[in-house]
Amino acid sequence: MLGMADIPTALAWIGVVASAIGGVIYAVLHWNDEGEVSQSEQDAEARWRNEENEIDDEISGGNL
Amino acid sequence: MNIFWLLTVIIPYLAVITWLGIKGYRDTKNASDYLVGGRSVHPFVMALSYGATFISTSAIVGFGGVASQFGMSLLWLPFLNIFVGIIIAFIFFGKRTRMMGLKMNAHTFPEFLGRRSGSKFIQVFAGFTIFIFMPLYTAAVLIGASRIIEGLLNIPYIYSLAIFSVVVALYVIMGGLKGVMYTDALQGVLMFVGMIILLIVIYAQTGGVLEAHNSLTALAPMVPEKMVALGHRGWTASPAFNSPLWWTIYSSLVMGVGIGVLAQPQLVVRFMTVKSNKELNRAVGIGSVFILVTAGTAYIVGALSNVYFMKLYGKLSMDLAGGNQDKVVPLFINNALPGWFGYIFMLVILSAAMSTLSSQFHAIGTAIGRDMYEQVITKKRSKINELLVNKLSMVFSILITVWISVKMENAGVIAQATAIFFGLMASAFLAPYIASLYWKRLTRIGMIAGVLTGTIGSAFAFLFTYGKIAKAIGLCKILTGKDTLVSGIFTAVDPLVIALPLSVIATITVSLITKVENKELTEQLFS
Repeated sequence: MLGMADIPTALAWIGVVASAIGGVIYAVLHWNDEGEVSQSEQDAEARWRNEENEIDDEISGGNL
Repeated sequence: MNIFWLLTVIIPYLAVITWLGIKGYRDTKNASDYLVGGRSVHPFVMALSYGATFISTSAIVGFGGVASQFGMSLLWLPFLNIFVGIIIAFIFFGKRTRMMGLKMNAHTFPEFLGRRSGSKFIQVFAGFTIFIFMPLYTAAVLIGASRIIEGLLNIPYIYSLAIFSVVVALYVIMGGLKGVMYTDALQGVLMFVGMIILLIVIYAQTGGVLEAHNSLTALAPMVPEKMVALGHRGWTASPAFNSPLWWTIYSSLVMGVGIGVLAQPQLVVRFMTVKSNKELNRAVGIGSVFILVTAGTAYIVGALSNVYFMKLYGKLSMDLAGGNQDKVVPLFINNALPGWFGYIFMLVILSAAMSTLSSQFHAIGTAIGRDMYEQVITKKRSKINELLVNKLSMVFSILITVWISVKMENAGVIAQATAIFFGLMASAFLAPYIASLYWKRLTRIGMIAGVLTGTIGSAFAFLFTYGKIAKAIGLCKILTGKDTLVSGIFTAVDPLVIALPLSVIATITVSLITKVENKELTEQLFS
């Protein structure tokens, strides 16, 4: 198969190409898929952004 | 090499790298920017950075050379690199790591594990493991890259080491993870272009896919006697089942490197750099194609170089390279490609080395600053000081690595340390990491038990059963008078095969008999 001496080695070659194609197909199918964003994740993000803004204020306030 | 053309290629490359480093510096305002790229890195940059960090010079030159000796059965490794290292890693590990990392405000892999379990010990221990073993692994990459520059520019090794270290140090220290990832993306593009040219050339020079594979199959009777005795059955056939070669390829190379990648701190942290799952979905496609072209090409070129050299000189690649695996791929490039490609390939090699190296420096620096210093020494945490501490830690990590690269003349020791680092990280942290992501019942004590069991199991196997390393270290010989405690085929079994199941058992068993202490956080993470 594919010029290889045994099937496992041919499968390895096919596997490399097929898995990359699989990765591309997955990416295309889920291109805009953000999944379900839970309330706790939104809260965590808001908390984190707030914390970052405080640090930026601290830096621009000349504390650095 | 023509010094004019060499400088014509190198100077613009370094200029762009410097510009990207400066851009990283300008975009870095706080510790989150410095450690996790502000959690808003573009998926294209993230995927290329992940891939370029993943694929180092040793994957291109080193494993290409190994494939010239062992053949196409090694293609299971790039298959696992894509399937496990990209698809499984991004979809099943990346999404949860990103989401939980955000909820816990974790910035490093050790911090992720530490906060998930509520154990400062885990964070410090993981940081310490990275601090002890990663500089040796990093030194191996630095030495390799410096040797390339030494040869190209015909300058002493020490100058070459200094130039290379200063360039990488500048953008890592100044730009943090943003600087690292921006430069990684450029380097990833160069690697992609160079390797795709190489892939086309190798199949064109050997008559196309089928013809090339058939020609390689026909070379089977030429496998050296010594290799036949180890289980080699030709370059397009799997090694004999249960032979030493079979165990080396499947347990060490394929399992160790292919599976072990899931618990590499410098890769895991990249999941925490993107804004949402959408970015990770997109990165799956980019990363898969990148690994196919870079890693896949290296193995194919390595194996098929035998066909090319047999037609040209009537010799196998390894014979022509004087038995030095690392010379096979450069030898093929010098013979099969026009002179100008040598300059392009030089950039490919430099890019592969720099992208891996910068990420390693960053991982060691954060292990020292964030995971050890800030956890153990700092009493009162200041957000601004965090940035300074991490920058100073980065300087320290680079100095340690450079010092090792100057002192260590025995490259074999470094290669062994690299193997130990990969094995140890996977054995110690993979099971607790998976449990962190998917198992609510994981407890602090369960995670500590899993980490310690994996570490001790892995260390024991490296010191007493794994022939290659145990012999080199010599502790088993001193204590028992024998090179290893086991004999025959068992000396070729990778420590990961022994230590990882033990770590899984310890993590599960101890978690089941102990209580979940941080129930509120656990519920929040899984909600």
